[in-house]
Amino acid sequence: MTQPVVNVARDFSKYPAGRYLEDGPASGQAFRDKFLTPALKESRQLTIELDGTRGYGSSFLEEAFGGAVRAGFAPDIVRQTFTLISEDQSLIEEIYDYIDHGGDPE
Amino acid sequence: MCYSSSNQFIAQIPTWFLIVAGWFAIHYFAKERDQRKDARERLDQFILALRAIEEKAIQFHQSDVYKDDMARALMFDIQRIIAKLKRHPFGSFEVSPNLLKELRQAVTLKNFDHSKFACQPANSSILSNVANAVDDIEDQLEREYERLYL
Repeated sequence: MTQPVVNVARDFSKYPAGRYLEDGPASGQAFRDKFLTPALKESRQLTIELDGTRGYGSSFLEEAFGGAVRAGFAPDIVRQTFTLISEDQSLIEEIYDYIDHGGDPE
Repeated sequence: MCYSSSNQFIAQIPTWFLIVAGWFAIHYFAKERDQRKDARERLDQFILALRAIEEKAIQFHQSDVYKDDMARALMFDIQRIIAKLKRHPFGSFEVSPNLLKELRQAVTLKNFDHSKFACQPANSSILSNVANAVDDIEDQLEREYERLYL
């Protein structure tokens, strides 16, 4: 069975930005609530395609992925659940940083 | 007669060889010089774009009020500059993804959202992190230019 795929640009927003819900509809918290937390709760593997947006703010990435760790999911579970795809290796490294080293919200 | 012209032809071979070799050498060095010049120009443009991001980031973080349009522009500019590194001549440059990550983090991790924005003083660590990240990328690119072209 193929793994479900979330393409951020297509399924969420071409302009993912902001940390919290109050920062806008395409915030990291909104992304986590919509895609990451349900997959983690249901132990469902998910592929996340990151390319195609007009860029990412680090605060978005930190809140989405680091926020999942802060919410109580173990870093190795978060890593195993999501397969990240991007031509930009720096994006993937950054997300793994937030997952592995815990959250560092402001 | 025939013997004489054959001798003449053989005598001219070194001359022709030198002419052809000289042409190839001139062509080769001219091509190298053009490639070096082209790479230098593109690198200078890239560094200007990088410096523009630094300037815009400092303006953004030192604004009295949160500027949504500037935040978006910074995200786009960083994305563009990272994409540019995949194209000629930078495709052959070795630039660690870590340096690009540090640039994005320096500009967009802290104080980047409406909910937590505050005008940063001149001695803010956010501003110095931006300058350091830009300098680190510039240094790496200059090192790669020297390695590949000089």
